[in-house]
This record gives sequence, C-alpha cells and structure tokens, in this order.
Amino acid sequence: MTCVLLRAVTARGALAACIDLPDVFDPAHAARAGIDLAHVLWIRPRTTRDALQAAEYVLENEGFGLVVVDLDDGRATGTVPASRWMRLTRAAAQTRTAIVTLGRENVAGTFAMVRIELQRHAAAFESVGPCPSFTGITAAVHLRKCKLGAPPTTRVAMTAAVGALGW
Amino acid sequence: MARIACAWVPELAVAALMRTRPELRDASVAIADGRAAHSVVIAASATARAAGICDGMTAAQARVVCDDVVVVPYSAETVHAAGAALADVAATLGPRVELSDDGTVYLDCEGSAALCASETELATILAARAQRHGLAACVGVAASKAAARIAARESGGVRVVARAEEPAFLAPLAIDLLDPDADTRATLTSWGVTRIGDLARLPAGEVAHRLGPAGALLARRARGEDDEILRCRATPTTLVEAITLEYGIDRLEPLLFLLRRLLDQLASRLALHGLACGALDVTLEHERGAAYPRRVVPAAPTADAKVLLVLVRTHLERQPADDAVTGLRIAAATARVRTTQLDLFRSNGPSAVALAATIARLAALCGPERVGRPVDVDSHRPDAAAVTGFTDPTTSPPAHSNGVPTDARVALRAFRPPVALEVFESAGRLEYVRGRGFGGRVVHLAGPWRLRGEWWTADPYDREYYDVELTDGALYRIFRDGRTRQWLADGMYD
Repeated sequence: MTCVLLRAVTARGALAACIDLPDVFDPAHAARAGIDLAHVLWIRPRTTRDALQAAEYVLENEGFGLVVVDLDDGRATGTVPASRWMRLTRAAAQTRTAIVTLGRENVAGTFAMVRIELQRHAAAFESVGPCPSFTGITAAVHLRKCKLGAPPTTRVAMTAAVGALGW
Repeated sequence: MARIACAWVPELAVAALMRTRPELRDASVAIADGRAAHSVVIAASATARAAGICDGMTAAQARVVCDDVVVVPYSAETVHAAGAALADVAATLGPRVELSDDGTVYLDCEGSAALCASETELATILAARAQRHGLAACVGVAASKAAARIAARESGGVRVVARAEEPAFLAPLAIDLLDPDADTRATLTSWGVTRIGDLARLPAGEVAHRLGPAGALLARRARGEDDEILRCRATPTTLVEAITLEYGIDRLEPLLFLLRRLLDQLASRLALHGLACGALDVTLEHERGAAYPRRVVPAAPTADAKVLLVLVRTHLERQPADDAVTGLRIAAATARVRTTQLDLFRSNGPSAVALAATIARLAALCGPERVGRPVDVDSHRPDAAAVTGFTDPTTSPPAHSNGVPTDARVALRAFRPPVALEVFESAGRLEYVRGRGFGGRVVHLAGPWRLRGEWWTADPYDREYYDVELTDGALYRIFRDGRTRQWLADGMYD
C-alpha cells in the first residue's frame, strides 16, 4: 500500500521522503512497483527519536508530497512523547504534506487523521509446471478511524501481485 | 571636473574589531601586534585611550595602566574585511570604487544627481549605509582624492567641498593632513610652514627643487591640484570575513555563535552586490598557529546566513576541531543566484537551497551514508541496493508521467544483513524454518530458483532461492548460499 502511495506521489513529479527505521526499503522492488526513485529521499535513521526528528526536518520544507515514516522495526514505540506527534501534525498541516506512519500498533494515537489496518488473508501460489511460484497476496484493508467523516465502507479487499520476474 | 567622495573610518583597526565583536564597544580595547605580553599596542579604543593607554606600550604595560583592558591581537584580514565592506557599501552608489591599502574608500560620484538630490545627500546616505554595516565612516566630497580625504578626516561626519573651493577649504588646515613623510615635515616646520595654505603659496618650482618629487606632489595637493586617478576595483569574486580572538574556543556552540556573526556580515555584503555564495572556505586558526581549511559547498548558491550556518555546523560536527580555535576566516566564492523556471502543470518542490540545508541536517543526524536517493543497482544480485546523493529532480520530468501503473505490487521488506536460518528438511522438502524473531512450519513453498553471478568479482554469489509461507502467516524470501551451504532470509513480502 505504501508503494502505491509512493508511486502516485512520485508519478506526479512531487518529492517523497521515506524514513526507514528498520532499513527494509528495497530499491529494486520499489522501482519495479513503479516508484520513481529520483523523487524519493531515503533516510535510514538508527533510533525512533532520530526518525521523528528526521521527519520534522523534512517537514520544514514545502514541496514534499508524502513523508513515510516506517517505525515497524519490532521495537515498542510507546516512548514517543505526544508533543512530538503534535509538532509533526502541525508541520504537516502547514506544509500540506501527508505523513504515513507504519507500525504494528497505533503509533500516532489521537493525532492520526486516518488509521488503516491491513490484514493479510492469503498468499497465492501457482502450481504450473514442476516449480510452483508465488503470485500475490490478498489483504483486507480496514478503515479503523477517520476524522474526515464517516467512510462509505470500512473494509475492502486488496490484491497485490508479484512483478513479472517475481523478485 | 571630477567629483570624488571619500569614506574614511577613524581608527580602522579598532572599528574593524568592533564590527566583528560588538560586545566590546564600551570596553577598553587595545590592539597589539601579537599575542605575547611584550607585544606592542598599535591601536586603542577611545575608552582605552581615556584610561591612559597609548600606542607603543607593551600589552603588559597596558594591563598595568588599565586593569580591565582587553588586549586583542591585530588581524590584517579583519581590517581588510572592514575596508572591503565599506567599499561594498560605496559600490551601491556608483560603479567606480577604489579601496586603498589603508582601508580608505573613494567613490566617483560624478553624475550622482541621477541618484540623489545633492552631493550632501549622497554623502549622508553613504555614511548611513556604512553605519548599518557596523562602520562609523566620515565622508568627504571634493574635486580630488586628496581633498576629499582631507574633507572626510576634518568633517567628523559629512563634509562637501563646493566646486573650485578646494584651495580655500584647504588653506587653514594643518599641514599634517597631507601626510608628509617625517623628513619633509621637519623641513617644512623649519621653514615655518604649518598650514596647507602656507605651502600652497610657495613657488612650485622652488618647492620641487628643494623637496624633490614628493614635495612637488605635496605642493600640488595643497593647491587642490591632485590629479591622481581612481584605481577602480572589479566586482569581487571572493568575499572574506575574519575574526581573531585573544582566547581559545574549544566547544562548538560558542564557535557557531561567532560563525553566525561572520556569516551574517557576509550575507549582508553579498546582498549589497546582489550575489550569492557558491562555496565557502572556512579556516579555523588554532593556538599553535596551525590553520585547517574546510570547504563547504551548498547545493545551490545562497545568500542565506542560516542555511550556510547549518552547512558549516554539519561539517564541523562531522569533523570537529581538535584544538582550541583562536581565529576564524571565512571566504565566500560569489555566484549569481540561479533562477528556476516553474512548471504550470507540476507541483513545485522545495527550493534547492532549503533542500540542501535539510539534507545537510539529515546527514548530520543519521550519517551521510544513510541519507540520499535510492538507486536500483544494475545487477542481477537480488539484494543489491545503493544510495547516492540526493539532488533536486524537479528539473527533469517524472519517469512515469505518461501513465502510472495502477495495480498494487507486492513489496519486499529487505533484511539487511540477511538473517541466518535454521531449516529442517524432510525427504528433500523444506518442513520448518526458524530465524531470529520468527519461525514456523512451511505451509506453501515456491522455488527453487538458482542464481549465480558476478563470478568475475571478489564477491560472487551462488544462491538457491525459495518463497515460503510459514504458519506464522508471513511470507519470506529465503535462500541457501551455494558456497557456505548456509540458509538465510533476505526479506519478507508485505
């Protein structure tokens, strides 16, 4: 889903920042997913604090369309003070930049405008020939919270396919 | 007849020091020709002179005369920077400006009526602009350089000598204002010549016969006949600001405080020329006399002191000074401000200057190798990834401007470095996979795909890849290294 957002932002010529705490961003897959890497600023901080500080630095600039903050490194992020999120949301509102925070828990708390939960349903494998191949993932997308008004539906299914060459 | 404006700063060495260190304005300050106790005082502030300090004293004597005197070592670069700043100010009023070796600035103000209502107004503007840049300059306007200089020195503010009235203006003034050398002064005193008018009345040929060419030149100047031309300076390609301290700084914050001050002055001088800084050479002088130059190049020319400070700070944090700093010198290579053409149909990105500052701050926070643009490496190695310097891509069109793929693609969350696995096989089939933080029975399996490459390099790869779905619900990309026979996971599908 993050790939889809990054692709949409970079395709219209805007800049996107990917703050990658767990250091998991894969440029090859991203390029195959259609993300214009020239428009992506990849930042790999070492701590959650540095990740949020980096997000603040990026949000001081006008002109970034999207800031993805990936905090899903398996560590608890509950130690982030609420004032930090408040500053980030204010900066994002001032610069008209979208922030997407990735995590296994509700990291941004009450400061999030929208909270989306993705749940993997099934992985698709194709057994054509002697060697089966992995073809995609089906996931359920739940809209858990939306401060912008009641959504028409709160659950949709989404299927992601593997690229032509697999990985 | 030419009209020359002269801007002259009394006690330029002291004024230059006050310009860089305004906190000393009310203090007793003496400038010595070195750092040692026996170094000689060569200039002093009015407060220090009132306390009894005079030129020729040693620094130790000055401290005895006045307890709270601050003795600062002389810095030729600080003085020259003050003179250059004055010339920059003058250049805002006319293109023909001369900066003399002693820091006096001459401006050709012929035709200044186009800018100002009168020469007095021009001189007042020049003095006011100099004041805004921290220099209390006296301004004189006359038909020649010598007369204008004397008018400036005599004025205590602004003085305009009307056309053809130079002889009458000069006549009552002391002969010392012509700056004769010591021998000539002694000779003139022995003749009873103490006023400029006395010298002007002497026959020119006789004066030249007795005093030589220097005396003849002096006599011409006394009559207001100076025909010395302006040696106009070109628009500077490098602006220098410097500061010398009587103490050492070993921490970054106070150093940045001084750097900010120098950068502010540099930025204001750049603004006078309508130029920006293309590169910055920062030299830190240390107590032992060594100087360490550092070059900081902004991504785009900028005259914003804040941005330059961020870049310098980042550089200093990465490579801190290893000794106490006793002097700073900043040289800015001037560059024209680049204008960018906006696009009607695309969103505007951040300004190049602001982006450069942000990247510098991010590099300081995370490390320069951890910030940049991801690169899809031209390699068949599955875990190949690289990062390169981020430059503003808004000048080039986006790669997918003609059609964005709309389908969702599976992404891989890469494990860097790959995670070692324990894999249990049964009858040649993978049964159970266990790694750090995850593990489970294999539910679905795709593969193997064998990859071998880069055998011509020192780090070839030979791998057998599988995509596995485990009972923990996750999908991993795992491989067996053909050389070490070790199982590793290098990513998780998401």
